[in-house]
Amino acid sequence: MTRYILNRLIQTVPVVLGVSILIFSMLHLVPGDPVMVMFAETGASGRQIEEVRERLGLNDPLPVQFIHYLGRVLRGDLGRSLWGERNVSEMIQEAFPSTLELTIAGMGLAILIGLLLGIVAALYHNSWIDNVTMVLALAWVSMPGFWVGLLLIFLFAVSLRLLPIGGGGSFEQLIMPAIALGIRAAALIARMTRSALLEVMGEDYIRTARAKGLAERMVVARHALKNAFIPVITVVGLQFGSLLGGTVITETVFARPGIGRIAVLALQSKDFPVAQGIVLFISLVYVFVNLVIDILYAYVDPRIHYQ
Amino acid sequence: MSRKHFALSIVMIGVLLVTVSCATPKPQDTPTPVAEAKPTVEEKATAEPTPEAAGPTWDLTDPKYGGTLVFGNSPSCCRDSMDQDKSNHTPCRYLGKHVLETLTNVDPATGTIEPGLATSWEVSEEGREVTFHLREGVKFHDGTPFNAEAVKFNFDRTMSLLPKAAWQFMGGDKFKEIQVIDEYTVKMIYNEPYAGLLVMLSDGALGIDSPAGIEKYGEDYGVKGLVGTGPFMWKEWVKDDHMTFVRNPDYAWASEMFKHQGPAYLEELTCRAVPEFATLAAAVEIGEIHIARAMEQDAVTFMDLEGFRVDLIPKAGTTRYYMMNVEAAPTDEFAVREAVLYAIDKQAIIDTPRYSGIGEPGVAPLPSNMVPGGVDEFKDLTYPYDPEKSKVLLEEAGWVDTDGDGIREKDGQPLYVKFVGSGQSDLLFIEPAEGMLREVGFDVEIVVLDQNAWMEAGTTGNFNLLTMSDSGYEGPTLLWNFYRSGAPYAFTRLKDEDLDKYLDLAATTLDPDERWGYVKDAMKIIVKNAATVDVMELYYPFIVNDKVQDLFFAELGYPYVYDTWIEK
Repeated sequence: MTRYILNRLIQTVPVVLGVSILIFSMLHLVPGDPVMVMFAETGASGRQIEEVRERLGLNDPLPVQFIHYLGRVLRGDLGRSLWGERNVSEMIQEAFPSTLELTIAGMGLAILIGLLLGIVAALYHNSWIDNVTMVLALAWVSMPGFWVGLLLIFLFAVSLRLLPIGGGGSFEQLIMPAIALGIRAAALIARMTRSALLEVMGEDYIRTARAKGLAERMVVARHALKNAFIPVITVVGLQFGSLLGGTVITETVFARPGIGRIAVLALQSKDFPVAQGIVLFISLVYVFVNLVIDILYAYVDPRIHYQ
Repeated sequence: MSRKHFALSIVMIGVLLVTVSCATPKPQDTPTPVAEAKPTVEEKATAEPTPEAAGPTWDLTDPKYGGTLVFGNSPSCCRDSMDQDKSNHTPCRYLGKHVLETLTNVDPATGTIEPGLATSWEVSEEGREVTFHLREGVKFHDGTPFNAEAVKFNFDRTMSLLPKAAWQFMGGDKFKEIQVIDEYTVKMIYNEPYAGLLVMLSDGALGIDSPAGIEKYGEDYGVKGLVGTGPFMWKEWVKDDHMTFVRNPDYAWASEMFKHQGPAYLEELTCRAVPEFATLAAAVEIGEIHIARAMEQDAVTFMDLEGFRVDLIPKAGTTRYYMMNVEAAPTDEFAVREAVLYAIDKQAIIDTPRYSGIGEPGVAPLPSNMVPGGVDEFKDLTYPYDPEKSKVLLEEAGWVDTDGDGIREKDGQPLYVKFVGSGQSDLLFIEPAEGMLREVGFDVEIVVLDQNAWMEAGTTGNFNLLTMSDSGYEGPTLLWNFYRSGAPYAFTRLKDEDLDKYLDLAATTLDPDERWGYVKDAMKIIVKNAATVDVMELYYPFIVNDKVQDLFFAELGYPYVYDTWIEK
């Protein structure tokens, strides 16, 4: 197992390299000059624009710029933002905890609600409970995140005055964003759990367990659930990435600090160091999460054995 | 599933949706009470005033003292850094002005330049040297003294770092050096007269930082701390969440322009970053935020709401316009540009829901609040709404609809124009014009791009009409940046020798009457060449909680809350 983990960690290097090249080329080749965007509001003379470009190294040929960039990244230096010359690594360090908090809360909520609903739906298969939960899941999947967010704000913050409107830091401020973020994932997990559990419940060994006289609850808990989890874990892993991306919208609607917001601004204004730094960072997070998911498989399914 | 179950589920969803959508925001009866007054000002001020601060005294038992004021700003309170030499973001400047004071101030009511940290100044005969006499007895928040050395340190730094907004406001390449004459006198020397200097010195971007503070915080200056002489001191900044300042208890040198002297009334000032306008409006309504610059359509709902008012502040910047590309067909034809101008009903655009009637039709590239004496003389030069005249002009220029599809042609080419903007707000600004242009026979393609591509379209000339949104208080400088041929942002590509001559003269002429004469001459050329459609003069709607009193708006159109207090 340790050899497997080490191998996977070594594999992250070409992944990160590939992502760097991709995001660098995409950002630089898409038309637009970040310096022109920087001075769009006040205007600037040709001289000023040239000097800024020159001093930021933006006039160097692209391959040269890329080599410099790669060199810095390998030394752990993500550069400085074009707009306020802030250290990019520091910016990410500052903003990420809030995004992580939101993603975990959203994921946690999604797993909790999704599993619960999915299990209930499967156990009461074809009853009204099953139908209602599945229609609810369909509704949730169809609702766009920002709309859910605004609805929650108007209901709980403005009308009922139960929760604060936005911002970050406290638990109350996390509740609505977590719901808005996690609700789609909850729906998907519910559906996945239900179908996985139904499939497992139809297996021979379940019938055997029942025949042996095991209580239904034990049948479900000890035998069925564990095997049903495998496809569910897959969905959870995939949803994590989706949730991380969804924080962009949720952070905007609820005015929460986080890397989602910084990323959007950076991409809109072609703030190269910030945009590249965040994409690089997120890809590392993603690789790590995938590794964790794969290891989880090994614990849940004894048939899986890594070399 | 069975029909009965399906129907039941649909009914339940329906009930849920109806419940939620009925929970629309209701006008509040009692706004949330604002923070209680804290008596800390009385405690701190029991010490005797320092000898240098002799002069007007202030009554600290005045009930105006106390309270926390919360601004809401979209999309953020400041992007990246409050270090004014490194930042290019407008909110950083007006927020910074509460902590960092400036050498001069501008009285927005009259446009006159008032003292700030400089009490008086003299301009040399040829206009290339300006000597400033600095205010004595002023201290930075870290206790170090404000003097000529500090001012020199500040501007040397501005001119040596990467040239951002502050560098440009100081005169850019025109700046030669700054000399310390004695402890309270500095002399700024320029290569050629910089007419905008005294006005630009009042901008928060040129606020004076404590040299010791800059040294102490190093790379983190502007992020973890900001040290100035202002009525408020830096407390904390949780990036993208909130920025908080606290009252400076030793503040004793307010400019004579303001209503009171001594410490600010407010105990604390907070800015909250709320990117989504709907969320911002909701936060003002429930009292979490006291002041916010809103979208016009949100502002209108607050006009009738009890407990709130809407302050309409003329925007400092150019008129909101459509620039026309005079080098790209068909807008390279003068008759076509004239036809565009006659086809646009400016008042109708102002009356769309996006602006809800807030704004005035534009007549010149600079709005009336930016030109001393206003722009009435341009009312006769401007093109009125006259779609019939537009059609006649197009017919006479050879643009005729030969195949009856509603679009005119000439030499086999359709009368097609590419209309470029950026973002949702621009789309709502452009869309009404599309219908108006189609009515007279244009084929219009609206292209809404992200900021980069939009800038690129302007730079490469890949457009016929383009929206721009600039801001700044120095009208002549804005005009130069956006219309002087050869300037990177002169997207209209209008080339006129006289225009360039007048713009260059306006940049270096110090006598205000002469200077503004050149500015108006330049604007007349732009209007006569039909280079832009000056659609409207913008007003920033600020939704304000009624408890906020004596709210003052500085020349940039943003709040400066030294005199402001909160009703208990």
